[in-house]
Amino acid sequence: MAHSALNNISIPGNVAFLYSYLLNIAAFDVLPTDDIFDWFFEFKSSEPVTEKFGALGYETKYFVKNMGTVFIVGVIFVILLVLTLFLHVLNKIVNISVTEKVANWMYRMVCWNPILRLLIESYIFIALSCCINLTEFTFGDSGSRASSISTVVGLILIILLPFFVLYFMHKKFAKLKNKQVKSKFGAMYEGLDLDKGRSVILVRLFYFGRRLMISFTVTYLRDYPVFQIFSMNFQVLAAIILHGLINPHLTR
Amino acid sequence: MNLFNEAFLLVTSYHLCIFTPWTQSADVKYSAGWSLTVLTALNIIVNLVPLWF
Repeated sequence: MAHSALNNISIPGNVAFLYSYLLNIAAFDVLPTDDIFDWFFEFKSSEPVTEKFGALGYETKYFVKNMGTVFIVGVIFVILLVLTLFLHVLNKIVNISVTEKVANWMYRMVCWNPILRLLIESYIFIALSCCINLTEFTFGDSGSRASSISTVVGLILIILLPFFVLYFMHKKFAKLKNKQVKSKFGAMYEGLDLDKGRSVILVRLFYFGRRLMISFTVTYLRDYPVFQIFSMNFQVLAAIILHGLINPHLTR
Repeated sequence: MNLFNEAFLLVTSYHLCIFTPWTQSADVKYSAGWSLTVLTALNIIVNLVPLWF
């Protein structure tokens, strides 16, 4: 919703003001990330893609800065993943019950569901930050190096995630209601009514496709606002038709 | 609820047409801005109501 204000049309001040707050809430940007990033990286000054992007929180072209708190959470997840892997290796070498318990607890806390939830919920922010960074893909200073490398990783993630979801849900559809599968991969099909059949997979794919489309249109079709608006209209109409045809959600 | 949210998004995207240069009057744009603000607030409230009950 808030991303609709990124289309290249003159949004009145009252809407821009409200949507900039909404974007901050939707992006979970609660930490003073600019100061934190400045400790680790050196950033050259960078202009936003358009003034509107700047007003709505995408103040630079750097992936790292635009992602904000979500980037820090992502890095923490990567550190925890490495730690979990290290604990599993340690457990195999020393084989003490304490390390086994800690390793299993870490695996449950970090692997699969939390990572999938983070990726799914922040999919649009990763996609949009990647699109923005690709408009100025440089390796000059440490900040742009970190941003460009993160962009490549982000692009790989956002392209692979829909294929992974499609493959996993299609292959394991009969087992998706299983408690063990749900506790590991439930975030992938949370809220979807699996009794509606495999067509619910389409809804999840549409979720990803729509966010990719929004990211692409607001960044690269900014010289063609008419296409941006029509693209958004068609996406919403397609979503309404899809919901009407499948009625995929558990709660009404 | 999902259909309601999609319907709200549809109304939002129709508001965007008013914000294009097709509409010349700044007053109309500003009024449409308030309309969109009120609709957004309504949408947030409606989405919060199930959390309370």
